[in-house]
Amino acid sequence: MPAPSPAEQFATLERQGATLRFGMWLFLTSELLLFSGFFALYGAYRATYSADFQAALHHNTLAYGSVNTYVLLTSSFTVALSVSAIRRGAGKAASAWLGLSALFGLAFLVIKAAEYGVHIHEGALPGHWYRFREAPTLGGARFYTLYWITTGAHALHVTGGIGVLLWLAWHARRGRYLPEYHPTFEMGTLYWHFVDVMWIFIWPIFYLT
Amino acid sequence: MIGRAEEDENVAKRDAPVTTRHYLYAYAALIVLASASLGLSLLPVHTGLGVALAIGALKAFIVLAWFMHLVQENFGSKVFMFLAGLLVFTLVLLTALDPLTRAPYPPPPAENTVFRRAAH
Repeated sequence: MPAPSPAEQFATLERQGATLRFGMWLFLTSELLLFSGFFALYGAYRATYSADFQAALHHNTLAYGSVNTYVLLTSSFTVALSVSAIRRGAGKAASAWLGLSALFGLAFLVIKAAEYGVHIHEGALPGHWYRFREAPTLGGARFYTLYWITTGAHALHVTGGIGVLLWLAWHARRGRYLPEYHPTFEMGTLYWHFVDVMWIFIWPIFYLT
Repeated sequence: MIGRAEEDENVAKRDAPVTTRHYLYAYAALIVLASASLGLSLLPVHTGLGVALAIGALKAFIVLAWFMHLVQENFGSKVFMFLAGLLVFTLVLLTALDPLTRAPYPPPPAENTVFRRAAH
């Protein structure tokens, strides 16, 4: 593979890479705005229906959410190891780590689907479909509506992230990324870590306390 | 636009990457913190949302700093991310403060004699 050269507007490859990464950070902060809307709504409704939220939270599926937390944290670790591998020039090892991370992502979605199945069976559904007998309150309905919107948006991000990881794994296996210059690879992995960071906050507010 | 000296400094930081050992320590810390959150939530004593979110913030910091290599980025990127987090925190706090600081609504007019008279 020929040595890459910077685009004409950049003096060096390092500067070009730093600009690309900064652009990715900007994109991630715009994504953060989407989730901050959900978190703000949660804060307002929890303040309004404090007791109802506690009751609804008490009946939420803690085991599913907790297992998924460990799955996502582990996937972030394996994604970090893929970056380490690409920096060593081990494209195939990086591809394997990303493949494993994508499998963790898939496991997350399977567990999430099972969890949704439980909620559908119980009637803990969003909006006017809500008929959960364990928390038959307006606040309970608000809690589960927010739960579905927030975790649903997050699951969509996980799905997109799996696609990104597989795309990176494919190109890493073909030796497209150089040890000294791989900003595209790093940008893709940043997205996956962002998805993990969002779950780090979703887990306590909807499952723990 | 950054100067040559700052660019050299940034390149030097990128040349001293976060190692696999750092990743391992970060992962171990994340697992310990997640288990602490879970353990606290299972305790009969209610620890509150604040503690869970503080542990969550610590976990997010570890992921951002080491897995996302923010420790290696230039000063501008670090400030940018810190401000983004601060603004989100402010947004959530102000939205929650609105219902928390409202005066309680008056009781329903069940004892209101005007309504009783009208009913009779």
